[in-house]
Amino acid sequence: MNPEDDSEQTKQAKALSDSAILERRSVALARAIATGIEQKDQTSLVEFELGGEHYAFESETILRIMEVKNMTVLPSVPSFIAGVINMHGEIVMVIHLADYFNLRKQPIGNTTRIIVVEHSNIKIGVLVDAIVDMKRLDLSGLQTDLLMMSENVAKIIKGVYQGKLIVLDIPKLILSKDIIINQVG
Amino acid sequence: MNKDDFEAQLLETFKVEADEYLQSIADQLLHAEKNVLDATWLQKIEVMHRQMHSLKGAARAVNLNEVEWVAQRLEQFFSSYRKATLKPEHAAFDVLHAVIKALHDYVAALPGILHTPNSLIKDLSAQLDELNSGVLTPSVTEPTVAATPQRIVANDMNSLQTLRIASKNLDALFLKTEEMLSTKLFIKQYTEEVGGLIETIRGMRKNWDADGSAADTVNRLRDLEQTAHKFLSRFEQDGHHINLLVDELLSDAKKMIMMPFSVLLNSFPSMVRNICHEQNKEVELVLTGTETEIDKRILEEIKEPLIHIVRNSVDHGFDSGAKGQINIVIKQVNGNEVEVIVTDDGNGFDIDAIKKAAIKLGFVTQESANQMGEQEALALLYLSGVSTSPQVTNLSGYGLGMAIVRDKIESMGGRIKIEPGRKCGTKTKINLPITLATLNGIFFTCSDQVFVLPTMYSERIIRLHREDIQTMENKEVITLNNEVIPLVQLHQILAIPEKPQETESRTLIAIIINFEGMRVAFIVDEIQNEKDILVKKLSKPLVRIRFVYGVTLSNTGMPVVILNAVDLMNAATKMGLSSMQPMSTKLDKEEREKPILVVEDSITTRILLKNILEMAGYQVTTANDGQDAWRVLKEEEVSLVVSDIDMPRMNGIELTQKIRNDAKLSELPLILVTGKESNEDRERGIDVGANAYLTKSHFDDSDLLNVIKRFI
Repeated sequence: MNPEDDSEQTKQAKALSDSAILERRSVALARAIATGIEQKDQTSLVEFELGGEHYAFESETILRIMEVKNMTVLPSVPSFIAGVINMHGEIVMVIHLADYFNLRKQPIGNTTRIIVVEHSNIKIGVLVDAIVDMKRLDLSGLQTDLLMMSENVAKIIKGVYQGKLIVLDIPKLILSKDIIINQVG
Repeated sequence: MNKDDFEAQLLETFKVEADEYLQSIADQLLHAEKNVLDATWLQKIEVMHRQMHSLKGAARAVNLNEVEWVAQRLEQFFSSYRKATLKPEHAAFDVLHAVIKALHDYVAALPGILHTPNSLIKDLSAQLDELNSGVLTPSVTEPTVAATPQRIVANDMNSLQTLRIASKNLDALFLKTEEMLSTKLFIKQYTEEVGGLIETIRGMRKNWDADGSAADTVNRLRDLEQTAHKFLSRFEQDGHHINLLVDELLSDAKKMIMMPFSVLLNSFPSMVRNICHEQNKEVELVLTGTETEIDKRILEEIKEPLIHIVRNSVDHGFDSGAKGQINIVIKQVNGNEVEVIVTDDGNGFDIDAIKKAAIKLGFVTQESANQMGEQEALALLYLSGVSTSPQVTNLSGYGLGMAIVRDKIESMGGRIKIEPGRKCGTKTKINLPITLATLNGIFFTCSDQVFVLPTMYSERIIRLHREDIQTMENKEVITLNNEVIPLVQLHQILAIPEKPQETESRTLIAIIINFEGMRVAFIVDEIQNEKDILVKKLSKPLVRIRFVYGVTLSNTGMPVVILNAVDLMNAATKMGLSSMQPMSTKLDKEEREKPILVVEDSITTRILLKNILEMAGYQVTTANDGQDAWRVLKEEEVSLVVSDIDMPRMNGIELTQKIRNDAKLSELPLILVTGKESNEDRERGIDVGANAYLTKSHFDDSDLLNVIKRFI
């Protein structure tokens, strides 16, 4: 603000009280800062349903979301492996997350989707009951001290958002030794 | 942690380790110099020799061939001192100090490069040669600094022994060789049919014999039977011979159609020069690793895609008048793949232009385009049609072309990834299989799911009636050509649900698998057809699944499981022993929970081995040398030991002996992994009781894992 303008305004403002102006200014400034923070700290998430509960992945780990088509079931694998799909010639394992978390298993239906995620050059598909929403949330206040979690959930959780949305950590899931299948003949 | 991070971390570990060795060697060298040939001399030399050996191994673990090579020459040097084949001269110490210093500086500057590896070697090589003039046996081979030189470059000598053969003649020859495979199977089939014929004759003869009144006919039938027997044994002999011949022929033919990339790429530099000339640019094409060999059929298919990618780089990456470079680097990776990386230092991709074109064509909305990262936007290049629209001329050449390029590469079982270059320009990475992994497979259904069985394991397919099934010791069997063959339900072996049957059909279909002379009949639902398939291996986190050999794609792109016949046979025999109960997987799990003990004095190699094993799903515990390992073995139960040989305090041979002589541990599987390549060492290792001996210089991860799998 240059001094000439300021002096003009100051003259007019004398009629009002100085404090009123200061207050108006501070509100305007505060708003600007608040919006700035909001955009920087927000994370884009995909929210989905799993056995009646709500979970989310961070969008940046997601390669694509697809319908359950052409999935092939594998023999002799643990029940949390739903099967394999063909993604551009690459064979990608699909994990049945509800089963892995010991939640109620829904039959594959119209809303069932496979979310393909990637980390460290490893791709896996994740079978979910339904995609709920895409949202941007500030994850800085995630609740992380949780008691009522099954072991497999606890291992790959990022935190719980406002007590109802469980945000999962894809890299932890993908690199988890528990999902490596290496059977002897 | 991803691979690059891991490699970076491994290099850091190596730097620390190398620094320790080199410091220590420099110190010892000073001592040795002052006390030439006195009481401590040999001891000092021994220590330096061992440390140099460890440094060599560590350098190999991080692919620093140039450091490995220098270390190897120094190691030989110390070895000559040790064996007293070289007299220690004072002048030699100056050179040794200088070389150690140069090596130290070189390693300290990593991953940046102080000298180019070649100049490092040239410098040091000259100095070492000076020293070596006194050595009695200076047989040192030149190193090949080029990445993973698995195959030797054809030199002039070899080219003299090369013949020109018309490409189409070679193709025809290869196809016919492949067809010999089915001949091989037919012969097997015929052999069995003759066996059946003999049975029939014998049956008839017995009938007539019982009659008693037809001695003449019986005699004639006996003659016939004998003749048929002669046929059978000839068939068997020749069949065996043909089996061997066909297998060898096919493997020779496969080698014959391996060709170096240079055949394809030698014309590329002039192509680039011509395009540059037209467009007034100065772009140089640099080729590396063109001696790498690959299946000729893949080489032919990859030609167009590669031309396309290089053309794009020149066309779009550089402005008129610009100077630049395009690099094509080819190397063999993972033993069965070739990696082709094309990079340029040009303008890179115009992400906005790509997005605009995709929006214009309605593939994405403005909104989602705005949110797209670079990788996602680059993926748009694959959408066929993105560039067919005449309005987006600045993209033409990229879009439609890239869709075709990708289809071609994927159809061969390869993959492609486009990335922005590190600083500028573009990077395209293509992975290709070394050979077209085709095999012939029988497609069939079981519980409504389609499976493939490699034809080579299927002896024959039979139809049988329920009445044909007999029971022996509670197990179902059938009799075929007088042989009793166990009969199992495939769905039961695979532990998948049985197909619900509306009406119990009277005839069943079974595939008889013959593995090393043992036969089992597997009941399936329906046979569909038999054809050549392209095998796709599983990828992480699926490492190995019981019963699954790999996956192939159906005509509609659906994955189809290729069954592992060996696993099926193992399961069927086990089932036979445990009264048809589905097998439990519990035992395997328990077995795997005991850790593998890795014994290695080089921390770099130790971490590398630990990582390889952990990625394969094993638990790992480590020890720094034999003595440390012995302490671990006393405290912890381990399932297997992987040990280096050369280590301080207690070496791998001593450790092996100690384990074999211990009442409790004598049966513990032990694998020696070492840089030593001499047969003498191998024999010594096996003599003291190691179960296997792997040489570091030519093992890749899968070798080690395969050996381990044999023991746990």
